[in-house]
Amino acid sequence: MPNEAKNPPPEQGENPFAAKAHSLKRRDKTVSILLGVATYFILVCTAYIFLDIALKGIPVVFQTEAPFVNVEFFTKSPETLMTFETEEGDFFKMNFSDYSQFKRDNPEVNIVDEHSHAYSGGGIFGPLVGTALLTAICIVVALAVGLTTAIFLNEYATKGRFMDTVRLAIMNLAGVPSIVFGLFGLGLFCMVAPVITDTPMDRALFTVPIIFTDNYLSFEGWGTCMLAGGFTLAVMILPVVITACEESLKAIPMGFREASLALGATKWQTIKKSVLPYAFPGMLTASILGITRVAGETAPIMFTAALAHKDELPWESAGSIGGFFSQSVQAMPYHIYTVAARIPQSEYTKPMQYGSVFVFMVVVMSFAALSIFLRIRYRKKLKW
Amino acid sequence: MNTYMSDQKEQVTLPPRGDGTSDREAHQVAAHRAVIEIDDVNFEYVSGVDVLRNISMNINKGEVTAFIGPSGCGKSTLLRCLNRMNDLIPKAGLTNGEIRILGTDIYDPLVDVIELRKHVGMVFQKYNPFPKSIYENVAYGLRIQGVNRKSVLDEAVENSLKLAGLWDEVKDRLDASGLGLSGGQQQRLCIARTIAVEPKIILMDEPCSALDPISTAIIEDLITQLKDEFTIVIVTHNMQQATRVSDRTAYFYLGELIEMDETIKIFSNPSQKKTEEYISGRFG
Amino acid sequence: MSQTEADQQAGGEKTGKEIFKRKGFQLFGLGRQDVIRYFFGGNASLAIVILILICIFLAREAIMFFPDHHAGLKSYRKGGQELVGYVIEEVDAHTKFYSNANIAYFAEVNRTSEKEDGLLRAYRSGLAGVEQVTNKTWDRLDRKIDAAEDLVDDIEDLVADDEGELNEKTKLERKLVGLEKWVESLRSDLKGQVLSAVELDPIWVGVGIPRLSVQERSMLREAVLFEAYPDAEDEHESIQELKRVSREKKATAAEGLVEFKATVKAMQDAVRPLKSLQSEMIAIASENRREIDKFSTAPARRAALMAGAEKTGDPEEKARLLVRADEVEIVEPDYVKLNEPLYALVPKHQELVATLEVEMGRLFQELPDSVETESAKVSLGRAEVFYRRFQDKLNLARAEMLVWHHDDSLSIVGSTSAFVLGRNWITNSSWHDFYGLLPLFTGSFLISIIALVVAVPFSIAAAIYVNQLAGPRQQQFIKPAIEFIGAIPSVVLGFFGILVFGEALRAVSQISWLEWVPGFPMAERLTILNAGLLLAFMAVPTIFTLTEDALDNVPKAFTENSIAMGATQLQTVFRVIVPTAVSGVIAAILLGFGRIIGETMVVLLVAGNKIKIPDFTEGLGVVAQPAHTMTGIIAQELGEVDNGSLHWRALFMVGMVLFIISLLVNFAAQRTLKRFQKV
Repeated sequence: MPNEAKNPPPEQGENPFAAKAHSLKRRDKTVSILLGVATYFILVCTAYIFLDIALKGIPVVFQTEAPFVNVEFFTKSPETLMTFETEEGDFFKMNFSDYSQFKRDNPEVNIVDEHSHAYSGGGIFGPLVGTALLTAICIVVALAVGLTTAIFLNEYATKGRFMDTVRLAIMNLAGVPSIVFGLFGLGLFCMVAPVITDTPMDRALFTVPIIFTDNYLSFEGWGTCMLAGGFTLAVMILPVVITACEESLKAIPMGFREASLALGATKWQTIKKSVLPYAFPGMLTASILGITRVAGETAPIMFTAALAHKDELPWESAGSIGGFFSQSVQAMPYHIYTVAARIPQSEYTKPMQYGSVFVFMVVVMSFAALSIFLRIRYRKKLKW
Repeated sequence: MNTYMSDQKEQVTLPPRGDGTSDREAHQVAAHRAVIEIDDVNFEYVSGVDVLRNISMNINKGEVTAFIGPSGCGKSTLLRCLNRMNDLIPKAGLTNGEIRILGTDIYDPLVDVIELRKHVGMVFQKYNPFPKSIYENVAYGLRIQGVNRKSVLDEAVENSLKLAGLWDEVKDRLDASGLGLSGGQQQRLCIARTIAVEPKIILMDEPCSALDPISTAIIEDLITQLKDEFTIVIVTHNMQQATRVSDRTAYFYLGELIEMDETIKIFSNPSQKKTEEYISGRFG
Repeated sequence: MSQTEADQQAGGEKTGKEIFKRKGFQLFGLGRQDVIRYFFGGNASLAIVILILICIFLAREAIMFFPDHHAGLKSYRKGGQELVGYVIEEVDAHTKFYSNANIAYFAEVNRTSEKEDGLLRAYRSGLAGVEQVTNKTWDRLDRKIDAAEDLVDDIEDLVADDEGELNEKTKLERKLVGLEKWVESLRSDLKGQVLSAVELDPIWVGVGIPRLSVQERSMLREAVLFEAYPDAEDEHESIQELKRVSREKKATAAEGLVEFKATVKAMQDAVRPLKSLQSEMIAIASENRREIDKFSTAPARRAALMAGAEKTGDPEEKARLLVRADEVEIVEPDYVKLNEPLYALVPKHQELVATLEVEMGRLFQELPDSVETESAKVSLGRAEVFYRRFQDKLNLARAEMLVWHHDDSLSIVGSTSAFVLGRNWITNSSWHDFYGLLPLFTGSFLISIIALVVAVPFSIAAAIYVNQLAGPRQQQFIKPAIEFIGAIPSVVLGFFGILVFGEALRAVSQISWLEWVPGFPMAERLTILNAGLLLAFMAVPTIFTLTEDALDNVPKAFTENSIAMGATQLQTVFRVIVPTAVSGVIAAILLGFGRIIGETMVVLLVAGNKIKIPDFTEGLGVVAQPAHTMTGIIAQELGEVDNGSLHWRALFMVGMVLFIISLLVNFAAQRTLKRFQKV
């Protein structure tokens, strides 16, 4: 054979298996190290981002004296921050509301060098509440649709064209850019979705009178509001929720269903009694995964729900239940976008920026950590 | 092919002797022709539980040696010790004894396991051609050794496929995927892939258990042909197969070597009662 | 056989049929179980419905874009703006050519004084840096001094014989003493601030600033201190000296370049007549467009007035509105008449262009063949490129203008390609709104490519490392950690990019030994590169997770076989495992691409949002330029445009393009995966 020379027959006393390819070994080692370095480089980058935000955000959120937490930051909504000096050379920094009060109380003070820093004062209570509400609406809607879809796919559907189409649709839905969902939400929920009203608007696509009442079912859209934002987000995370729900249903042993069916239970009874109760942890995972995805999204709520500035909290300006859901809200990601890119930057805007981002990161990341933890636990269970 | 023959003739100076004698002198004589010497080996997967206990045996050059025994008796484990495939399992390893191949302790720190495996090839139970072309499958071993000359590879591929009896069936479609072959063909492709690097020893771990009877017959035929050029160790469940292909047979039971002798003797007149019970089908 | 018949037949006895028959309520022949089943199935098909609805709602607005866009382009042509557009393009092409020649000239003039200029630049940067630090204190000091002066005036105004005024005076004097102390302390603050500011490294680094030697730095520091410290009358003498030397050197250099200068000047002068023709034509065409717009909006205006009249309760007001509605003229303008003056100018234009071409050709030949500095060489090279383009443009425009007619028909293909291949996205313009996808698409595409080029090696390396080389403990740590990255909200990453990473990247780009990197040193903070790198970070978890899955799905037997052949672990990985998993890896990359190109917030915040096709003549350096993206433009502009306007529809059209791209990417990924499963 041609490569005879490469493997000469061993001679007595010589180790025929002695390492020959030194360069090969070294190359192996070098490549392994390179791969490891690349991996850890990614982690270092991540750590750097986290640390940078944490180090600059913690001083805003926490204090050295009791109560150790910057209470104002969590209980007020964003407002304009005023900085000014009096003629005596004293420097002041206060929220706009306090500033008006100050001017009323001290009419004699001559204010000089006055600057306003939009959205840099107050706190982030409004955006936090808004994000929580949007997320809640989104999860309720997404879970309702997602769970039923998962039940269908996992319990009822048989392989076939319909199922393939559904799966294809879900997969494609997962790849659609979030901004396109924003456009979709604007087009459907804000501008066309039906409302019941006695005075339909001109822009309605069409109206249907409801019999026995003076009201109309008017397809005029919900306008820019919480509900539209929540639904848009729900549509966006549907693929995630469906997948998570399905995984949880798959984790339930087939024996549970078989045992129930063998006792003469109907399919629905089986699902209700011996599948759904055990799917609860899965639903929890799905919701948490959904929250992680949704809470951080900006693009879909930009034109469907979010508002940069609002003085009142949602329940202060609601009026009715319908009114509550049909108002626009502040939201954390949109607030961050505003303070990061839409206001003039100065040293006085920094605390608000880093404080918001830090709090937001902590919230979203704890949900993310929880979801990853739950998923790992789930995957382990699945292997049994 | 001639190279193999000449190689053989130079090396084998003693006439084959097939007795598992424990006589010291005979043992030393045998050691000269033994390619694999296993000396009082214990092996564990989990700390404290030996799955092989005090195994000692010699495997001779140019013979087919069969390992038989009921499931879990340790025969596959021993086979995998011979080219240190067990290294892939964390914490597993020899706890006692040594294994010498070509006179060298293969668990010696100076031994490069990569070199060892080039000399001690292995064919697995489940045929597993790589998802590459037939040609690339056979050339794989040479390529990883850094051989890239087309002419060298061509020749090696042709020779190996011929030796594996596959050449006539695939010579027109060397670029087709190896996965397109039938099961028996795939297993022969795996054998061709193994012999392309010219190992001294080929280990076969139940090579026919996933095959139909016709393919099995072809492979068995192939094994008897190959023993002229390679030392073959085969693990098998099938006792008829052991009688058909092997020169010597070792019977394992619960991690111990019960008996090793010429195949004819084992199957006609075993010296141990346990062996007899097993081969007559009373258990296992 | 129906149920009842079966019952009757069975009589009193319970037959199997009766026992096994369906019980419970029935609706249209559907049992309760069926209803439940269809309910679930209906929800499942919601995914399909939503996908269809997305298509419908995007298409509803997007398709309306085409007729409107077509009409807009039609007006552009009818009013003669298109004709003028050719002239504008000619002038632009000339400007590009000329300005590069000009840059080359100045590079040559400045070549001998490079060192001095660099030092002066450093000096100015230092001054600016110090000023930034001391700005506030200066203001405060000024105010204090003013206040003190006012006080002194007040004190002088007081007459010192009244008891009360005397008291007042003492009070004021005490205040003055306080103020003076303030001033004193502020001055010393200032001094300290200046002293510490000049020690800062960043203020001595920047584009065009050479690496400073120790002596140079101390000299500059002294000069800055001299200038920054209060009451400096004149600049430090070393700076004056530098300026003088630089001036002299430049003058000497310019002496040798008189011809060059004359050529460049002549180039600038040569285009003047064309420019004045251009403004003349623009005025006419703008007027034409106003007429046309007036006509095209007339029906709508009239309808609005009528509707207003309908709604108002006041009869007087109603009558007035109706009269005004009647006054709205709906008379189509006479396009021939509108365009007459433009046609009249065409021969003049031909004449001007002919002379310009000859003149520029001559001047181009007169440009020096060899220049001394590298940057002048580069600029001259670019000038040559732009000269060729200028020539082509002249020829093309000249020919086009001769055959151009305002009444030429405009095909749908023409207006569609004006969108798909349009090089301009100009909105809210007083001239004409252009909706060209190309600048946005190029931006998105460039950013995605950079992101992929960076993300793919890292993610695949990490996937191989985690799946094949790392121990179980490392695996348990790295995998969730990388998945964790996927949960970072994009707006947070964008925020990080804007506040931290952009600045850091620019600082890194100014390190002198990194100058070989294309695009370095970067003048901008928000660039394609910045956005690309952040998106690469975002894409890592997607590509990593899917690649890792693909590697994990490779049968373990392959590894075993390869190892048994004597392959090393890495040989096994690269020759068997990765090739086996390659379709999965490609699918991972495709899905990563889908994620990147659809990402909005990071590019909106970080890409610089400049709507222009990046200048590719800079080669790979193009990455240091800002750009705009398809996702970014929607996010930025949709909130500010009227529902149903052409602009609004154009944005939906962009969304449609994004949607189609995402579907295509998904489709490709799924196809690749399917092939993978066959293996």
